[in-house]
Amino acid sequence: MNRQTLATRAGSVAARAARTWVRCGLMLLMVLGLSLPVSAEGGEPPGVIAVKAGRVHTMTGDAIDHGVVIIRDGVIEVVGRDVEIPAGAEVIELPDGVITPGLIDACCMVDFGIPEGATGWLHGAKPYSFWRALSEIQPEAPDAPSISVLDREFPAGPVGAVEKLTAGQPAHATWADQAYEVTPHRRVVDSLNLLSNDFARLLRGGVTMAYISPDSANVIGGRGAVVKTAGPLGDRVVCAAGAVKATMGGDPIRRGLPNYLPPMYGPTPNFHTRRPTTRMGVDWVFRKAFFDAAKAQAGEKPGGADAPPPPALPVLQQVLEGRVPLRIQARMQHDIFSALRLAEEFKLNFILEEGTEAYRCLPQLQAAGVPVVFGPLYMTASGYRGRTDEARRPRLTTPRQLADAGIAFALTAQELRDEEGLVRQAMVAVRHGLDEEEALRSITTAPAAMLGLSGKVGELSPGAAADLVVWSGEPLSATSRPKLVVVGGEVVYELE
Amino acid sequence: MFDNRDVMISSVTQHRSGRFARAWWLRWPVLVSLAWWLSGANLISAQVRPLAIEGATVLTGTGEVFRQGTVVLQGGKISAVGRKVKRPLLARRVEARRKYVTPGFIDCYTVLTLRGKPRSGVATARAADAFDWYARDEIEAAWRAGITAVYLPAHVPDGTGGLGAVIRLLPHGSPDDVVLAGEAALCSSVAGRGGALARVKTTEALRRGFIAAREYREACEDYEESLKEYEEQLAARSKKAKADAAKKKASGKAKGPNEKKEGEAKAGKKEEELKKPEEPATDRVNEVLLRVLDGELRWRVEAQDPAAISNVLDIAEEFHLALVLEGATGAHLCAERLAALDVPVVLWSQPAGLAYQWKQGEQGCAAPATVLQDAGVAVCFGSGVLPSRGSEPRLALGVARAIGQGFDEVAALGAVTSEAAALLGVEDEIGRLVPGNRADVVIWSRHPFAPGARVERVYIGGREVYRADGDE
Amino acid sequence: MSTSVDERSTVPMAMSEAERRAMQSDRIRRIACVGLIAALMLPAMGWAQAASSPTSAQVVRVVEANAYVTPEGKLRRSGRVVIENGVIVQVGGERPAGTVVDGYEGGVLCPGLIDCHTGLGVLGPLGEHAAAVQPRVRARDAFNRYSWQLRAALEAGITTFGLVPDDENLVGGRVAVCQTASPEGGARALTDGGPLKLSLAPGVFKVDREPTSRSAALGMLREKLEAVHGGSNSSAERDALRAFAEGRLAGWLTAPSGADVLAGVQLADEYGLRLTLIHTHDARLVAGELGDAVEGVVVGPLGMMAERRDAEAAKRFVEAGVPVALAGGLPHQPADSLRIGACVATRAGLPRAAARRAITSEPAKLLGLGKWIGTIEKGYQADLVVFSGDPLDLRSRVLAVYVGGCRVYVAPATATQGDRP
Repeated sequence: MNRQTLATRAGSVAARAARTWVRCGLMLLMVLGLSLPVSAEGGEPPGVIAVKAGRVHTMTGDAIDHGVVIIRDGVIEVVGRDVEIPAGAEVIELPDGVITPGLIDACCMVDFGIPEGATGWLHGAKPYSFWRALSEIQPEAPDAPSISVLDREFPAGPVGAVEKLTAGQPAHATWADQAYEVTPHRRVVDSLNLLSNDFARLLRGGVTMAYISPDSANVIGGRGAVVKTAGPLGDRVVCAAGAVKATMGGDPIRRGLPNYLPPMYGPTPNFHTRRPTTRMGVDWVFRKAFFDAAKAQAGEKPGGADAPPPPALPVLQQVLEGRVPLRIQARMQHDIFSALRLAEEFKLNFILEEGTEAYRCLPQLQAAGVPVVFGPLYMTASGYRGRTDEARRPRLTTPRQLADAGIAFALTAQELRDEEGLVRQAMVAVRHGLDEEEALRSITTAPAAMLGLSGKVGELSPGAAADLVVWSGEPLSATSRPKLVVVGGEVVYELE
Repeated sequence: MFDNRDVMISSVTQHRSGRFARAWWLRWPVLVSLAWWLSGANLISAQVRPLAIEGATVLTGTGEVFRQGTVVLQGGKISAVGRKVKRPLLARRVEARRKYVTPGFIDCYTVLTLRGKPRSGVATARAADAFDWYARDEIEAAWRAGITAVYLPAHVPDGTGGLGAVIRLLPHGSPDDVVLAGEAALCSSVAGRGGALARVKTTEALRRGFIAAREYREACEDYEESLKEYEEQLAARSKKAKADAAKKKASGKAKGPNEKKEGEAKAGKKEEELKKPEEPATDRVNEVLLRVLDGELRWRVEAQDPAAISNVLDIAEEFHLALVLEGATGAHLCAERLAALDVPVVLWSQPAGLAYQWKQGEQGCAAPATVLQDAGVAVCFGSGVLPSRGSEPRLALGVARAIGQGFDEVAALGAVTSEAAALLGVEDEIGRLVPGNRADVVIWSRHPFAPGARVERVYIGGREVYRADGDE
Repeated sequence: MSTSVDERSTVPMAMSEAERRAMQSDRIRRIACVGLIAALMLPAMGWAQAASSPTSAQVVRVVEANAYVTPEGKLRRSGRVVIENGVIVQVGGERPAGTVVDGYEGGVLCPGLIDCHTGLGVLGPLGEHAAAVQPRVRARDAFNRYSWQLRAALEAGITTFGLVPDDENLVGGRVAVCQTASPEGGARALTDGGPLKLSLAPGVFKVDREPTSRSAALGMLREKLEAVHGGSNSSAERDALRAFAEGRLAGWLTAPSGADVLAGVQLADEYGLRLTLIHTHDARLVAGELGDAVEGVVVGPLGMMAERRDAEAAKRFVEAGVPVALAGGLPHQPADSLRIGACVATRAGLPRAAARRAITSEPAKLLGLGKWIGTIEKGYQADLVVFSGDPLDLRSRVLAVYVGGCRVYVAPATATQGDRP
């Protein structure tokens, strides 16, 4: 071996050793770098967001393929196909996604599990279901305790429990006030728990705005509220005093105080128990309330022991004048006809809620021009609705029939969530004959129109609120889910 | 030589390059695993490499205090404690200047992580089986209070319950590591509710239980004796039969049928029916009570009323039981008797409300722990019953409050560490920072009884299980 | 002759002799009566004078200890407080000559602890449930100054406390501020016109009267407030409710859940009310939403087993910039529950200075006595507690209690505690 070779060898050895050490160092750095936490990017969210997706349903015209939505300061600036994205914008790109406006539920029942569980307990379901509902909905609720704890809490059994519960505990439920049968001066927004987990569930289903309807325990109940399901708490309530809710049928009888007991369990109705106890009574209370309101309007003093409470009269007068909208919930054909008859008597315009047997009343609804908030769709009613015995004849084709008859309608899921939620209701409606475009309109622009917010929500047009949902496929497809939800220009939900 | 070296080098390099060139893919895994091991991310390496906590004030729990002391943990046990302790090779360091290191606190009575209670009279039910390994929230709440081991009771509202257990709050590990003593004590309680008649009934039932256990033992012993007798008789008879047979053989076979029959008749008269004695049915409950009678198992009784306490003391005296009193808000009235009988007391760290303290008549006491301690009774602290599901135990605060009422400060730390371990019979495992004990160590930001003291880190079995937020 | 309308200045034009004599004899009779009553009363007053303790508030008194609690809540060395006529005239500085000196070796001077939410020393319940809105009911009327509980509270260091009506009425009545002791001896009520108590707790909703639900509760509140603004309310309720609606009277609202807190904040914003929130469990969710809409929050009572969300509530509110006071919750809690609560909150992250303020000056401000008690500062009442160490340290005990400059309690001598780390 000569020196040169040796040198070369030594040099190559050294070089190789050096390379090895360098690589070793790099590997070490890699390993350590992997174990270091990745620092999150701080800073304020940008004021401009651009969302690009495979398809955009603007609800104002045709769907746009490969569309872009530009949002500035919580409001939609421009929607189109080849739109220039401003500098400094945060770009969210989902090439397979489909954008729709945020869904609007026109008759939502929030925190319904609690009263449901309570009456379910009464009808024989285990009290566990009540606590289960409570823990699912309330943010800080305790875990379900054992049955023995419930026995201790409610020693009088289901009867005592329901009494305690229908009196308004827990305070987060949208219970109607039961001191009177006529309470249009009360507002459901006062019973609302904006911190409830139910809103997160709505959001996960793509619903960005909901009209919260009071429950049906009073003949003329409180006023609903329009609420956003996400965003800063101070901006959530869009409208605090909405339509007055009235109910026809058996709900005010069943859920009245203390008429909650099934026959043979409770005291026989007498004048100490609260009216009404029959459908005649329900109609009577409704009629008396508006009759007295008209009387007060004419300057006379309403009399009789069943006069509505004084604070109710001004609101009823506003309903008579048409300045405050009215919604009437009715399931059976008989009750829908009662509603139409009473509305005609007092020249009232109203929106029909639920309308399970609306398919039997199409000509009458058409003639009266009554919009319908229809839902939910089911084959067999379950839960509270199932126990009312009023929902024994549902039809899955009702939305199509309403559309064919030219009746304005919106779909709603009421208290159902997730796989029975609003978008699934639309999906089932399409499956049973409703046009896809019509179905999408019934969960976006139609409820917006009913709430008086046309052009502001429910569509993706310049100037509308930046509430949109990006789905993983066509929204009414069985396999698609919301991947991203934007409310007020901020991303509030992202699918993991 | 030059050539040799050259050859050597070349051969080595060739050798190296050759072998490594062929298996070049070995280099990276070796380097990566070396890096990983050295960075201490490996759990196994963490076990193997010792941990040295340096610079803190070490409160060993036995009364010794080391300023700027060091505690070395290795292999899940404490290997060295002291002021000038040499740091072993490859040890990981934890800088704990101006902090306090104590043994993990032992809660002598808590229902945290306990799911379920036994039925009355089933003395074999074990609290260790009701321990919820996955109650992570509750275990973390205990760590935040510096508690690393708990005693879980198996109480029923009145009468004899099941067997309590001593559990180390390790979130994962083998049952041997977690359950230190699966059957630590038999739990009973004499409740105050129901008035004097209920108390008398319960006490009578307890006494009858022990008497029945004694009778069971006598029955077992009788059975043993009679079994021995039976076997001896059986052996004797068989021997006799063999001897007779041999005699017959030897004396010849000339025996007519009549003689045979006579012989048989004679044999039949002599032999009575040997009945095997009946074994008494195994009674597990009585066997447990016998262990208590023998002093193997401690007997822990929850009794609040002074009258109930003195009833229980009567029973303990009569049967010579190793009694431990729990709850015992009225114990200060029987302090001398407790000291005389050497009965330790476990007090709740949660004080009773003003209205309820004095409701017990004029027997309420402002400083029960102090009164007991002055009389010479061993006092330990437990969390007691939790008022609601999310409650967190704060043992150190309860002990600090007792100090404010006159409890001795040195003994106070012992009451939740070494004394508590001695009470539960596990002083060789936990409760003290001495070499050989398990490495259950807590680092506090200040003295554990000082205001604003926070648990910064908790080590159980040498492994770090909890680190406070905002701690580097 | 007088043409003035004032009746008092009218003088009879002329009087007959008989009338004048009758008037004179009347006058003499009147003077004699007054003189007799005075003659009877003077000895009694003299007894009262003699019965007052020799260490009465008139003497200038100096209380000295190792350290004292500053108005910011920190501990500062060399606590010396000079008291004259029951008022603190000097903090720190030199010891004035010719004064009575009480020295406490190793002690810490702390303002008398103030428990703002109690039911201490009451006869019967503190709730009138027949109607939901009861602004004229006063908790002062249930106060029993002879209750044994007051002495127990005094020995734990509590000098002032607030008696609060319970949570079962929408408007429950007026909070009363009382003291466990006084210079004259015995407990006393300081004011019966404290803040107005409101509640949105579930107990407000009953079966047999309005409101039966939250919508009615908030609706009723709003109706009352607007009626007062419009002046159409009945005169009986007008005073307290009007003062509350116009922001002159503070209101304490029990708001157990986040929804109740938000409702309260919204009402306060809408009508310009001064609100303090009590009993909130959802601090984690709403601490950031309060801003400066509320005057303060009362957290507690925090027992030794308090849940984590309640223990951290104080810290969260302080971080959000809302004044926090701790409640003791006597008599359902032990006598030293204020200090226990402060310890629990401190261990959950509340700064120690804020914890000391939360049991002294903040409750005083929320009760409306922020200029009078709760701090060791010149011009404040001399309500002091001497602890043997940091008041937040549960290992320290009460050595003495002063109310209005009089020493009303001295702990029995016990062995001194050693140095604490």
